[in-house]
Amino acid sequence: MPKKKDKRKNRKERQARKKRYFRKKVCAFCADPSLVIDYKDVGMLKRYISEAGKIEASRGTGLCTKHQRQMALAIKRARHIALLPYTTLGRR
Amino acid sequence: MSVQLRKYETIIVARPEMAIDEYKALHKKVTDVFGKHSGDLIVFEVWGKRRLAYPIKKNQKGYYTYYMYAADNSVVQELNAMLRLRDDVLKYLTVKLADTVDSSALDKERKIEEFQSEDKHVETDTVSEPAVAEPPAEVSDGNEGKTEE
Ligand SMILES: [Zn+2]
Repeated sequence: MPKKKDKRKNRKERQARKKRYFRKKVCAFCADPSLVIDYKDVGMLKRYISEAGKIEASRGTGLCTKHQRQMALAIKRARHIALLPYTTLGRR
Repeated sequence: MSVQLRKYETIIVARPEMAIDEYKALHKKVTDVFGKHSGDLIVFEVWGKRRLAYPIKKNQKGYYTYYMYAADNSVVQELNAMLRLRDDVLKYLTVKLADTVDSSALDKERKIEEFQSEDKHVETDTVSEPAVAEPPAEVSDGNEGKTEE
């Protein structure tokens, strides 16, 4: 019985070690608190949309939940006043 | 002190091919709303003609103006109602920046731009960061004024 337990523990440890290699980079806006997410700053927002104009998922942006949420809101506001496209697909 | 003043900003996108006097008339309509409800204009910027990210009513460009002001709810309501009815306004957006206003600091932030005569219009395709007198508070409809941490 104890043998089996050890095995499981070992696997867990291995996985934990492995995971560390894939650790996510830290959120850019947490790393630099002087950076503000502003829906008027189109140059910045553009880095967080895909070529098609879609909002990049947090797994791609590396943003934390809070800043990803703020970023998505800023992009939506910029779209509303036509500073950013809703989509660039189907453009003539 | 009966009304709660809050800080707002409004961006108006007007039709691109209007005469400068028509933009001034639209601006007058906006400031009239402020005057009527004791709204206080803090920053006014003429961003001018910019390429729209998508066409609106067949327009490829829009004429952008930016307002930052202290006001109460009634100003925002009347302003939005006015803008909604105008067909020279392609788009508008009002965002609340802060729930409170430090009225003693307002004059330091104050920056009211003038309209440029038509030949001075700079047409920009790439939208650059506008010079805002104050770092915008956290983009949020919630209560936070500034980013914590
Ligand atoms: Zn973050």
